[in-house]
Amino acid sequence: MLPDHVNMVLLSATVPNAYEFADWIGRTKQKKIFVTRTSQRPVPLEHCLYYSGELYKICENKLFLAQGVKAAKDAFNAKKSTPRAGGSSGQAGSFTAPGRGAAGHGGHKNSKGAPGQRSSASMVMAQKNSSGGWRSEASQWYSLIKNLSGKGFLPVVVFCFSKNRCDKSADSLTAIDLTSTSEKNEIRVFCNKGFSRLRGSDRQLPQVVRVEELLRRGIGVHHAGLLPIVKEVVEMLFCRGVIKVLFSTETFAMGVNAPARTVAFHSFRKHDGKTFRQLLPGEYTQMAGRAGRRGLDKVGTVIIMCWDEIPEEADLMRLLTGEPTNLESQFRLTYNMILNLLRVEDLKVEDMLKRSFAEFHAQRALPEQQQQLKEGEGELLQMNTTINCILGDPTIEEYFELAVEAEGLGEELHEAVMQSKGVQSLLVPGRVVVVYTPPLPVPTLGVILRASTPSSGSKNWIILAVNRGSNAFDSSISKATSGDSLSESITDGYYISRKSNRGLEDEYSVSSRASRKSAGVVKVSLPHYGTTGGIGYVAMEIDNKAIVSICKSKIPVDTVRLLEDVSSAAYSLTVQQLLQLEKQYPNQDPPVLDLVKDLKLNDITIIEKYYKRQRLLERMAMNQCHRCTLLHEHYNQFKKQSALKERVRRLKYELSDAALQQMPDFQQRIEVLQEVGCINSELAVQLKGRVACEINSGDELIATECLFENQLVDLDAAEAVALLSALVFQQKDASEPTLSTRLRAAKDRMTATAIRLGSLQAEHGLNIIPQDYAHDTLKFGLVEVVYEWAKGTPFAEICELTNVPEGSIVRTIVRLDETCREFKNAARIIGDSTLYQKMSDASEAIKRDIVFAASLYVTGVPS
Amino acid sequence: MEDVSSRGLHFQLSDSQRNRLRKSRELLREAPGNYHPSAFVNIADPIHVENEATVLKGHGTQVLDGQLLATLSGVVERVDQLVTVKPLRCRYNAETGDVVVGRITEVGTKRWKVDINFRQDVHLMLSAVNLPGGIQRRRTVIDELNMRSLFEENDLISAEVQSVHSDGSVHLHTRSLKYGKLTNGQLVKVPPYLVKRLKQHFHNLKSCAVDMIIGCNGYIWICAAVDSLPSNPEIEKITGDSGAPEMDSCNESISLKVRENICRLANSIRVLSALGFLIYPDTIIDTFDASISKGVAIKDMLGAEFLVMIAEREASRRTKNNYML
Repeated sequence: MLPDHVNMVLLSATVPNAYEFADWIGRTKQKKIFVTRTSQRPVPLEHCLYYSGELYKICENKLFLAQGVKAAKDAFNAKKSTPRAGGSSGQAGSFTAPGRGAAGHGGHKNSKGAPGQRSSASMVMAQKNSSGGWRSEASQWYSLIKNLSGKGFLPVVVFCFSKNRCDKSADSLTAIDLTSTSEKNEIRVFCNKGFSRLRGSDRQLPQVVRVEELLRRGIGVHHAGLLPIVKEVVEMLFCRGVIKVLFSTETFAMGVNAPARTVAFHSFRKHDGKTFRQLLPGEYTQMAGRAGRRGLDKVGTVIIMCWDEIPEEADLMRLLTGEPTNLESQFRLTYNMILNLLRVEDLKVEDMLKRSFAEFHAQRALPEQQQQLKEGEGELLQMNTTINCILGDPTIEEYFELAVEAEGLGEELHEAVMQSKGVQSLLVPGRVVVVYTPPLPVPTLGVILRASTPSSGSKNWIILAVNRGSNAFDSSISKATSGDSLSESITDGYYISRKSNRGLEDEYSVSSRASRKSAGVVKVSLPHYGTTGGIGYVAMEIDNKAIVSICKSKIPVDTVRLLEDVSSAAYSLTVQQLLQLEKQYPNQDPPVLDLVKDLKLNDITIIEKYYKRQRLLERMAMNQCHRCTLLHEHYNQFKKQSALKERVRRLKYELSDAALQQMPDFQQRIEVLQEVGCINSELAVQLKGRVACEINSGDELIATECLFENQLVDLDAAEAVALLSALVFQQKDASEPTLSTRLRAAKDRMTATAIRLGSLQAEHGLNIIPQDYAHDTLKFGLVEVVYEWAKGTPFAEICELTNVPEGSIVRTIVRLDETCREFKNAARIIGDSTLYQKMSDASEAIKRDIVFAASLYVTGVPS
Repeated sequence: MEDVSSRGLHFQLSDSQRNRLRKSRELLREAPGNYHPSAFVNIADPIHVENEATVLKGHGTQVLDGQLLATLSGVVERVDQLVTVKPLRCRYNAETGDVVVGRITEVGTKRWKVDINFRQDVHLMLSAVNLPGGIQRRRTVIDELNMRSLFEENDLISAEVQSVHSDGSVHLHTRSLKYGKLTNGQLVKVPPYLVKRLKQHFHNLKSCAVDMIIGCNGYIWICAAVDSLPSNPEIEKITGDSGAPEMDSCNESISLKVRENICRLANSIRVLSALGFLIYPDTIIDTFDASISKGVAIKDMLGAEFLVMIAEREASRRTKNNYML
């Protein structure tokens, strides 16, 4: 959607699949993309473990040093074995005198009262677990900082993975002063200037005062809970190099270009919203990359803090040298996006989906697939010569369909039937069965001669079957009309048979040995072909799958003479009997055993399937193709043809829009939008849809529904904007606000709407749980705060109302202003002037003081 | 004999034709899908709502002495709690994303003013058009001076509504190859409320080799299909007054058949608009086909007989649908 004339430069330190990504951009934008990548760092990094006052180098110039980890481990073990005595830092730290460490404890304890009084809500929480471990942590910080400053490794950025931890760590360092007098002066002047744009009471906010005090000593804090202006002051001071120790969250690594001499990781596990997990290599690289200032330092040092245990070597290795996670598409369809695309004619949603990075691989394979499709279609065209059936009208299509269905059912059935005890007892020598296995062109009558158990374990049968497929050497068989092609098919079949019967001939010796024990020897080599009276026959070994059905009839067979003496007379006799049987039932197979009566099967589903299959088989037998000698050939031909057709169909599908990954999702969302009334059945955007288009900052569906249900009507401007804060606020664990009855009713109404919409979406197949949906999209944590703010309460007071950090409050209110603007636009589209007025009043009410203080970056620091 | 004047067209109806027209109108009035008579309001009519306090008062409504009144004459529409009055007749009301056909009225600094049948002339910024050659760059003073070479006064263009601002001004854009100057065709103006809003407003009628742009503002452009023309960006519109040699050649490039098709389609639209039927490709083509199958000459399409015939046709179609339902 970006206009073509905008040129792009993309930079990343962590994307491993840059080529792929560049290919995608180049493809979608139809432009050449040049990829340059280097593993060279202007300032090389060295990674260290920090354990009780010592640094253990574990990685230098991208080489992992296992001995470093080992040394750290040794130190760890050595320390474990010696009884722990006194302050942890004093013991190993040659830089920190024990007395100093003790002073640190004291200092911390003494100061505890003071920050406690003026601390924000987050601070209160932080002090809950100031246990013994915590105290030793504070002294560890002292020793680390002493250590680093001794080596000239300051300034350092310490990455902690929670806002609380940042505050806690910074506040614990009460007895440290890292700045010179001139630096102190600089900081003081800068802070005064920076905060000068705040109003009197705002300047006395606990957070401002606290951070200023920290800054004076060269310590900084930086996380999302800070007020924007405080954050900016910290960033700017850090860039000036007067902050020596900065405690920050991950956010500092992104976006802010402020490198340091050293980066320290408080831990390498973080909470990503769901669980605690280890850092990903990509994240580590991003943060570690902050170390080393170009032109100032020769190397950047990265320190991983080990508090009470040494991390596993494998983990470290993975973290330091592992491949960063591949860039993946995060493109998700939203209702807003769909509506915006639907109302302009130029862009189709399908096109948008196609251009997504997620579809990149599919799109890249496109020309190839198109080629394949062309080939397939060409082949199909060639194949499409009609099958010349000798029996007149080709009913092969019907036959094929029947056969495929029967096959599917048969396979299921076979397992069940053949394993039942009844069947095993029925399949005795002499039993007539219908056999269909590769050497035989059509399902044929056969008679069981003997059961054999090959090594593979499953039971096999030796059978004698009429070989109507006309062996090549018997040209006298009347039905063989097209000898050449047939003989070919037979020999083909022969080889297939060997394969499908799992190399029967090889196995035969095994099976014959097995059978010798029980009855006698099989002397005939299987499969054994022969002819008698112009009719071919074959004796062979088959497995369960080849038996199509079991007939009621039984004929006497002389197993010994057939298999051991190989008497042609015996064969002739048996074949004659089979043929006679066949003649009795012209055009169909002899009656088969009833599943229920004879086999005593009583599983209802099996029986149902069985009957269905029987009916299919009957129809197959009625089909004139059933007895056709060319059946096998035609069948194969047809099979190939339909396989090709299937392939072409599948390729076509893949090339069409329907194969897009997000297509089902898109369809479901379209249905939801239609149900709600945002678009009509012709996908033209309706009034409701136009309103939903305006709303970007929250869940557009809920907001639109609330608007059209006129939920804001009985609220005044302050209440309305407070209610809307639910749409933009995001923090989960905010304290429950105390609300007036009117607001509580409004809140309940809104939640009910959300649940209704959630269940509507769930009905249309979207993966949404209504309760969770309402809970995730509407967060009422700041309703009270915003209400008070809109009524003009000073910022310091509203901060007392909640546990939400000041920075989050400011951010929410700023976004809320955006929401007000969107609602204003919506009101204009609807035509309701009172709502319009209400929203602009609300916008006026929240736009004041600290929340909307202009950014220092934009205006510059006043001098 | 009686005369019927409808939307700029003048029909002379005989008595029988008048009766037939009246009859089909009655049928249409009772056809399903119509508004209930109570939905129609006149200016200052009270609108009945259950609870005046909870409804959203949309366009065309106002509260006076605790009563919700209509400020327009039209149809009351409700969406959830929202009550609006949709006027029966109105000017075009621009909405973002609409495809419109407009006429340049003025070339100003960095912008053209365009008449799209809106309350005021709308703006087409120089920065919102594609420059010739498709090169994307910043617009310079030179470009500003050359604006007339792109669009002159009285040129017809197709464009999309880019944004509607809170002060009521509207901006267009032509940042796509399918938008731009319109040539080789005919413009038909119909009331904008008769144009049905669809997903597609560009239509290519392959059977007649004609392209049609049904602007949401009621301006409909019918021209020879672009594929059948040699692509010559300099061609002027055929209705131009001066006879430059290129123009003659471009006139000739359209075959008589296509020109007839264009006129027939244009007249179909005129008839539909005279009868006040919704205008969208289906109805247009239906009328077009009917005129061919009945062998009506193009000039007779604006005659009384054809008008009555189309009305009867529509009436029977709708009542038939009724039985099917």
